[in-house]
Amino acid sequence: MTFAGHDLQMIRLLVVKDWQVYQKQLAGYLAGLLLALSLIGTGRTWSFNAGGLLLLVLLVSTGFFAIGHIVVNERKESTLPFVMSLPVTALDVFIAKLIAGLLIYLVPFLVVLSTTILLVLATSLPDGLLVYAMLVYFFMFLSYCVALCVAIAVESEGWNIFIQMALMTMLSPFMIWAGSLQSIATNVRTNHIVWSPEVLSVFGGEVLVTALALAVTCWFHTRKASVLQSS
Amino acid sequence: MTTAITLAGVRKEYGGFALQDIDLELPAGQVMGLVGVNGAGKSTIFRILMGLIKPDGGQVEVCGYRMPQGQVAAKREIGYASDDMRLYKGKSLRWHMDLVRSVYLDWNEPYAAQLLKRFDLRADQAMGGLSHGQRVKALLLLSLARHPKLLLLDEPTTGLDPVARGEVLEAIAEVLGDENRSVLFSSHNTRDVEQISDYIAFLHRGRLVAVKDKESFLESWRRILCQGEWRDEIAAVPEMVSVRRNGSVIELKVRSFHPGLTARLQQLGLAISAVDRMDLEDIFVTSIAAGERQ
Amino acid sequence: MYGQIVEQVTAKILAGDWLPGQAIPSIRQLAAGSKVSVITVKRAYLELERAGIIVTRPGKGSIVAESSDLPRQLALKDFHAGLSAMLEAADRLQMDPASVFQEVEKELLSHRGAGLAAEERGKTA
Repeated sequence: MTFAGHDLQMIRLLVVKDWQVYQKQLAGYLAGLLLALSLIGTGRTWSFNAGGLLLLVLLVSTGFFAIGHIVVNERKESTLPFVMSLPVTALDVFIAKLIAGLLIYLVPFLVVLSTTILLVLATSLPDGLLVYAMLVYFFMFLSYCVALCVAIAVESEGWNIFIQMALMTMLSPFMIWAGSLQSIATNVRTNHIVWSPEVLSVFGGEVLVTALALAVTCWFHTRKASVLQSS
Repeated sequence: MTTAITLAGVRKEYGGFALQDIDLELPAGQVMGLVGVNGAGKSTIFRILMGLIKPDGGQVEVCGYRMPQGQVAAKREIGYASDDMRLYKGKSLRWHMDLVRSVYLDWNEPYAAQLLKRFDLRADQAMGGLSHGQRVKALLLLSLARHPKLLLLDEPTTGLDPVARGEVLEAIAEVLGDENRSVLFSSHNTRDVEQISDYIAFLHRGRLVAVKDKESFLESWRRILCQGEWRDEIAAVPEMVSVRRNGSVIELKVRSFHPGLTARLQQLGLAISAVDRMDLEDIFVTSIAAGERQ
Repeated sequence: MYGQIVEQVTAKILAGDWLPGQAIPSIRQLAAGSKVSVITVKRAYLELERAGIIVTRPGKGSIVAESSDLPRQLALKDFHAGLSAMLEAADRLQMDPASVFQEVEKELLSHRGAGLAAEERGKTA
């Protein structure tokens, strides 16, 4: 089946291939993430802090793992020539990489997200925490998307590590800054869930940056592919 | 007659290397051996044929499809294996076979099983634990088991032990039985090329030095051993490629050999003691050495 | 390399594996089976046909020639091959026809002489 010149069946096959290659390691990360969430859920201060830290570290590592394996290793381990020997275009391989990259991160991410919502609402944890948690989660998703796009577009391994490190170090300043937002600071320890305009505009900014990163990468690759295709 | 591969005036330049004016035609049903030292441009030709890189100029047609535009359709007909291609370490050969099988309708499972046995491979073994020879055979199996019309094999026998080399050559030779299937393979092992190819393409520094059917190519070269006084006119004979003198013994290597040549040498005062055919290795080394001197 | 194929086919015929009138493998079959290029086998078959050992009918493949005396023909082929090798060598030595004849005669006499002597020894023993 094709759509706008893309072979959807081949794209699906390549995505499934990436999923199968890394599903075991991914299951390991997911188990770790669920452990961290259960620590948070006990409600004691020490386990809440330990669980929170573990959760952040594991989410960042999952991102590192996904990018390192499905994008960087495909080049480093010379499996890319094998993929390119299949009846696919370079553009379809790119689309498949992007989808696989998002999917492989989104699965554990969405599990964490939904479990967090359940946890905050169902346990004695203050419900106001939810807004703050969502801001931080989406910041992590944004970081992942930017790093993924850079990894797909830039072949240099040094640059990729640099970008991932830079994004990671921005996490804690962001958490402090988001925590100091007035509607967060006043509601985070209460049971009020308040989506103030301030919070919503931060969300909007996050979505915008993510969409921009994806759009720029797509544009870049379509152009690269058309250079290859044109005669 | 249909052609499996047509390259016309193909050029590609990058980083101090240039592939220049490549004209090459492989008729369907033939085996062509691409010979050249490392860095001669063999792999670049393969990548252009696969549509993986776009030439700066010229026209490329593979299995009737213009490249790189027709690469998807063309790649359905091509079995490609190269020296720098790897499979997924953590996955088994069986997993790779299933992947390839799901892409190509013409996958032949009984033949795959037969190849597994002949190559002495285990389908359930993870690729990470394979030796170089097993890896090459695994790649070849994935290509051969779907009966591609055109096999593009970049250095398929490099680094193989004699037993594995024999197995690989045998599997490639099986393709010879079908007159619709063609093979282009490169090697710096001239013995492999001499053994199974119908055509020889000789690549040196990005240029095709010679493309000819193998029998007339080998037939056109001679090593002539003679005795006599040296004269500069001997080196000026147009067919002369290499001259070596040792006392009064003179060893000449010539191309475009014809019976009149011996008479010409005799006229120049040489007594000829032997005229021998040369093997591809000797021709290869001689012409490269001659090219370097120019 | 085509020489090996020629030898392989003649050996099969001499051994009686392939009988006169019987079809022999097609060029492609033999090439695939012996891991040798099609063009090489083609050349060997041409050579075999020229020597009258096989007969190729267009579109039908090749058969072993229906010759009453194949071993003799093969020996004759050897003889002619030796003869042309000898003439080539004579050419390189720039021998004139008279001296070639002379050499052949001399060789023939000594060969006969040796044969006769052997026969003599056979009789006395």
